[in-house]
Amino acid sequence: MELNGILVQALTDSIAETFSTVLSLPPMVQDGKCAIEKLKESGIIASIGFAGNLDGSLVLAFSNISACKAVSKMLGSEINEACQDVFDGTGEIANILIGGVKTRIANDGYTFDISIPTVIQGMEPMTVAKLNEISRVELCVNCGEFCVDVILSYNVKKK
Amino acid sequence: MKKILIVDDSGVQRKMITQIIRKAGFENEIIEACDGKDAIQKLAANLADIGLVLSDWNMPNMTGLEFIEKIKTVPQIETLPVMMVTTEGTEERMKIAHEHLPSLAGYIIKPFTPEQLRAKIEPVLSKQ
Repeated sequence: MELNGILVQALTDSIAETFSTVLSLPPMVQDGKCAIEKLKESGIIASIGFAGNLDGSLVLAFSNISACKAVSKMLGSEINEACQDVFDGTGEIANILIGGVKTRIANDGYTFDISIPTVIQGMEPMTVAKLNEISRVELCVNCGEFCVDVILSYNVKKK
Repeated sequence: MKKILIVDDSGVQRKMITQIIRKAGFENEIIEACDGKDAIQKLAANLADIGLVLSDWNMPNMTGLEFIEKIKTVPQIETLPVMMVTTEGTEERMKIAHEHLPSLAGYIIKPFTPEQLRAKIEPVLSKQ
C-alpha cells in the first residue's frame, strides 16, 4: 500500500479508537473538511508536530462549541465555554491521535518523535492553509454531537 | 494509605486518571506533577509516602524517560512501583522504557479504558 493509503488507514483507526475510548463516542470518519468552513465565530486549533523519517504535523480544528463538547465527554462534566481544560483536552486528543498513528505505521518502517501540542484559539474564521510541498490527509470526524477536522500534513525524509 | 503521583503535562489527562482511580474505589491522596522536573521535586518531598507513580513519556522540560532515568539511582525506587502511561505504543519504545527502568511495574498505552488502567493499578494498590 502506498504511504498516503497507509496514513489514511492509520489515522482513521486511531480516530476510531481514541474517540470510542476517551470520549465514549463512536465517530463517523469521512474524507474532506467539516468543521473549519463552519467556523464563523471563534474556533480552537490543536496542533502537534512530529519528526523522524516522516516529518509533519497533525492539526485538529474545532469550533468552540465542538471543543467544549469533546472535552466535556472526556471529563464527564459539562463545560460551556473555552477554558484551560478545553485547550488542554484538545491538545491531549491530538497527542493520543498521533501516538496511535505512530504505533500503527511502525511496522511499515516509519518512525518519528512527537512534539508537545500547541493549541490556538482564534476569534475570526480560520482555515488551515495547504502548503504545496507537503502532502496531507484530511478527514472529517462527526460524532453526532460535534464534529472536528483532522489534518495530517507529512513529508517523507528517508525510510 | 500511600499516595499516588501522577505525572502528565495534560491537566485533563491527570483529572481523567484521578477519576478512574476514584471510581475504582481507591481513596489514596493524589499528587500531580506537570513534567519530570516537577515530579522529582514532589517525589523527593513525599518519597516515603508515595506508593505508585504513573508517568507520561512526552512532556516539556523533562520527559518521562528522563524522569525514570534520574530516579532509578535512588535506592527506595527499587521497591516503588512506577508505570508509564503514554501514547508511545511501539515495541521499540516499550523496550527502551524497560531498559531505562528494569523494575518498571507497567506500561499503559493511551488511549486506555478505565478497566485497562484499573487492571494495572489495582493489584499494586491492593497490596499496600
